[in-house]
Amino acid sequence: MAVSAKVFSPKEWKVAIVSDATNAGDTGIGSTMLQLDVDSVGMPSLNPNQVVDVRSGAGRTFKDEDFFQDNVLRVSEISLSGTLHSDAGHKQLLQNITNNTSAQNGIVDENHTGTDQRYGANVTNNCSSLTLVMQPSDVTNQQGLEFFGCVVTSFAISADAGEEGGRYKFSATLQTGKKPDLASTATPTITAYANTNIPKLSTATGIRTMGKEVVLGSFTTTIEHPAVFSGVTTSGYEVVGRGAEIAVTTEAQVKYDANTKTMINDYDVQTGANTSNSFVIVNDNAFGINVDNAVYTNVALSEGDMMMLDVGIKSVDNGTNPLITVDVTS
Amino acid sequence: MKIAIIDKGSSLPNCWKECGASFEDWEELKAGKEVSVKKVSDSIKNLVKVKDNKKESK
Repeated sequence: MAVSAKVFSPKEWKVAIVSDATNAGDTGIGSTMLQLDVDSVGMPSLNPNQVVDVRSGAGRTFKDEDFFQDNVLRVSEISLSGTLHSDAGHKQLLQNITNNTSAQNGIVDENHTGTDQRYGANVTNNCSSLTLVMQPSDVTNQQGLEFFGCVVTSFAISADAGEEGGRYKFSATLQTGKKPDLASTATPTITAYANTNIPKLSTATGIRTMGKEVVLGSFTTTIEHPAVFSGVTTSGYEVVGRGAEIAVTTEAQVKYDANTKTMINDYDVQTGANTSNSFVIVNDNAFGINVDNAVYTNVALSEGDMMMLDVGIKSVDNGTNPLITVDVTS
Repeated sequence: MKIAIIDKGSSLPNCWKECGASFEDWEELKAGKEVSVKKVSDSIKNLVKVKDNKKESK
């Protein structure tokens, strides 16, 4: 084999997702996939089980017979970050972690439990199980990475009025207990994202933090719901469920002023949740956020060109209202 | 239809979009004013009263 002169840029890979036809089925890649607008294509954590420890024997060397590796019962993890779009692909990340069907807002209802799924069974809904590919530009000289049966364990929406025109960014973590295909030469049809549907802070109204009308500098709202894997099959774990808590937290930076001056003391003396407009950004069909009930987890002065406040809150379930509603419907 | 909150102290969920209202309308509803909505979502049915639409006499 002669040396290859072919060179690839790190930008010559795409990340795309599609809803699985069955949990962990690789049939999804045969249909049109949806490209995500990621900053870069980072290496997933493959996490094969590997033993490379010295065992008893002659000398003090690691023997070939002592090497062990298993790539079946492991959890692969993919971390993504990039620019958020109000399109089907990016919404699917939100809808997976909130377990909503694609037609609904991203709502974490009161008493939310998430969904448990058996790999290979029919999907619970059209976003409950995702296939993600890291697709190369040239499958003759490159190989794609396919991850089936992914669930989103963390999804964060953020924006900063002082950066990139206040356009929304996202970060997401996906995990799968199914053995991935790391040598794919498939060429799925991938629909690119558009530059016409990026949510921006400049279209937001009605901004509230803990019931107060605030001047917002930046925010990050994170939904986290860990996945748990169990059972055994020849292609990976058998069942994927969800952990003990789906948590919704928000970190916001707001201007220190007459409206927000009480927040430090409010945080110190709070005895229960704020019950109205705990975090609201009205943004129609553009990842607007609505949290009714929340407690402070932090309030701190933040020195900059002007005095700001860093405000941390955690959404609270009062048994009636959703933990969060994310506006992704027109 | 027009609705009004029954008890101003109740925790009215922020479902303005589901009810076909604006956020500003919803703030007024919470403050005790009557506002127009397209529908009353299930989550607020026991928290608001629907005002009858009186027909104007000819």
